[in-house]
Amino acid sequence: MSVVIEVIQPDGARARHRLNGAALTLGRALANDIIVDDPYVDATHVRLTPDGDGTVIVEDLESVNGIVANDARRESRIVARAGDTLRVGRTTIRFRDPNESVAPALVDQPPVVATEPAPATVSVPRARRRLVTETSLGLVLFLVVMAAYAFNSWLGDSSRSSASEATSVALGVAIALSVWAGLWSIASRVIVHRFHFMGHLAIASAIVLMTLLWSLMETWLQFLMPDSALDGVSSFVVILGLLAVLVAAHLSLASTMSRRRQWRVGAVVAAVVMAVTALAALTKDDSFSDVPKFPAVLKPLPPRFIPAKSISQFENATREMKDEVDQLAKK
Amino acid sequence: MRHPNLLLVSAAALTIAAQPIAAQESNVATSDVFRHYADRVVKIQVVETGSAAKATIGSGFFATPDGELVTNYHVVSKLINSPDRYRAEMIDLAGAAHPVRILGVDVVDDLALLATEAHEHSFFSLGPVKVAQGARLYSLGHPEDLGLSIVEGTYNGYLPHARQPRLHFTGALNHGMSGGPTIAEDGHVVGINVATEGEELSFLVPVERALALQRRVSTPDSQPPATTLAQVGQQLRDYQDAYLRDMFAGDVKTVALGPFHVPTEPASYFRCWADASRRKEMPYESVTHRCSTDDYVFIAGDQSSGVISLDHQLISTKTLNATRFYSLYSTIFRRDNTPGGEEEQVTSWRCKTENVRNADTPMRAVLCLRRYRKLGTLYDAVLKVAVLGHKDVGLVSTLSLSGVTFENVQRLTQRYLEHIS
Repeated sequence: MSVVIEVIQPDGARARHRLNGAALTLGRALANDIIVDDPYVDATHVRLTPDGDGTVIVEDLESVNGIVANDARRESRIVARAGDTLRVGRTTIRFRDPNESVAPALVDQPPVVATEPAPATVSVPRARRRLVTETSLGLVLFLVVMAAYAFNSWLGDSSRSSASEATSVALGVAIALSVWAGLWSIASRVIVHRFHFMGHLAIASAIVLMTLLWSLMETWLQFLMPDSALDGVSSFVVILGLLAVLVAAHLSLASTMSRRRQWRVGAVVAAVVMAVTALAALTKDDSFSDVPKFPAVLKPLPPRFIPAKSISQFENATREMKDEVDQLAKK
Repeated sequence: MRHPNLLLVSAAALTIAAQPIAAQESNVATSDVFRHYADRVVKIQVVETGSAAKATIGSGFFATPDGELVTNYHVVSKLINSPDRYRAEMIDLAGAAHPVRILGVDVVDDLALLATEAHEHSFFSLGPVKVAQGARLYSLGHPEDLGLSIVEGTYNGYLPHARQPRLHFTGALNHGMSGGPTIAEDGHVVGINVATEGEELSFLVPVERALALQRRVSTPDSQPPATTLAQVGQQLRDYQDAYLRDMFAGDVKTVALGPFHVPTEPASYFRCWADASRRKEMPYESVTHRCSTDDYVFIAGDQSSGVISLDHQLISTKTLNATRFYSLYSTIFRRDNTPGGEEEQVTSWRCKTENVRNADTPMRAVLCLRRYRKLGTLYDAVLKVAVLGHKDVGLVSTLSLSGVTFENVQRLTQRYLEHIS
């Protein structure tokens, strides 16, 4: 009975091998049966010997980092079976049963022009195709963000120089995004030996785009529901969420952390940033100001769609404000 | 709105009888007037008790034989607002300092009556006086603390539009002459120096107001208030009640501004102006219509009160689309033109925003409010309104009220909102 092993490298590259009786070696050296590209793996790291009854004996060949079993203990010899997972260096080895059932194949749309030969990309190896996706996604999102900021700036600026203003806003966003993605890709290079610049750019662009969309939505909320307590809270929650997603997504490219850990780090970073911001806002709010702060968002909406109160409802609502001001005067 | 400068750093004095003073060629030399009446005018200074340094300087004059002095409220306002930090003193002609205490104030007319220990002093006896326009008058005081000076000028009658009576004096009053007397050549006090707008455009408080204050204080059954500040607060409340009673009373007068109708000239003592601007570099046109009162009441430092104004701005565009126009509209709406203030005098602003609809017009309305800290239940309020529902035309309208009760804030803002269409 044979066993299939699945080798998952730190950069996500994945390969499967069937063990049919003969022992195999795994390591970085090209003389191995299974070659991995992981700097934490020795030239010849382990020997895998199938023993016929569906188990595989895994022996450490005096490697630097050894074998780490399911329970996170370092072992020199392990008997593994389908369902087990081991770690050598930062590479994961999963043992799988060859009789595992797989989902039925998806139906693909046939090409529209039947006479054309099949596109060359079909034969492109898997790793290469992923790269193309990351690059094109990054580029598209980056351009969309620039265009969105330029358009938003043009909408918000009625002066004659609005076009040049919009261009400089777009350039400013482009520079900021590139620097941000650049810093993350340097971190990626150090930790996982790949830059992933376009991937980081795609992540940053997507989050910045969502922030812009949210801020637009928020102005509408402010217009339709003025002075609503929900307004501040929803903004807080959304920004917190976006920040957590941003950090977690960057970490997924720039670290070998588990997904769960990435999310945890993202949430902690977001919480710390928001706590500091909230603290600063609270201390600032308390100081005296002779300038009234009022949200002044006006939106073009036909009269019948504008939710409005009667004058007397408004006058009643202002009584609360009077009480608040009276309290202030007593301090 | 531009207020005349108060003549803080001031003083002078003389007496009057109820006789008409004709606009005639004068036979009396200015030097004679000065020689005759100079000893009735003193310098008044408010001193910071900690450093013993002068905080303000003004002028004043004797108005009774037992040493009562008349001056401006604003000359001694620091002492009234912070009695624990300041003291006031009078400097006589010889340069000697004497302590003074406050007998009574009239904050609305900007007058204060002070008691001194100087007895059997020569004085100006106050009384009603009739003066013809063009009559020559002499103003006495201590301009810029440079010593007692005399300024010659002419009488030009009462200011029109003002609800607080003020005399127009064409003469070069300077800072420091506040509280000094302006007299006819026979020594009758016509008014008390109070403010100037420069270029010889100066203002006096009519002598009748000082006489009224003097009578009020000397009435035996007049109840002295707990503190002068409480008295100031009560005077302001009485004043705004009387002042605002006529505002928006009866039929509210409106004016057409583009497709809108807005309140105008809320009472006879308001003055209104309009202006239009259309510049090539701007993608919009703007028409403004503004009404305000001339009257204002000085309270302390940067704080003045009693100013009421209405400000309408019509904005329209032929080139901007609705989204861009509304972004511009929001920016104009956001522009802050509220009066400043000091933490010692007023609280921070609090604002309430709602979309409000009167009979048929939807509006964005923001009411901002702050309270006076020392003067009881008086508030400053700003109501800002933007009419909604049009794609290429908008109206930003602002009603500013200062030194009014909350009941008046509610009554006036309600009337205002009802009459925008």
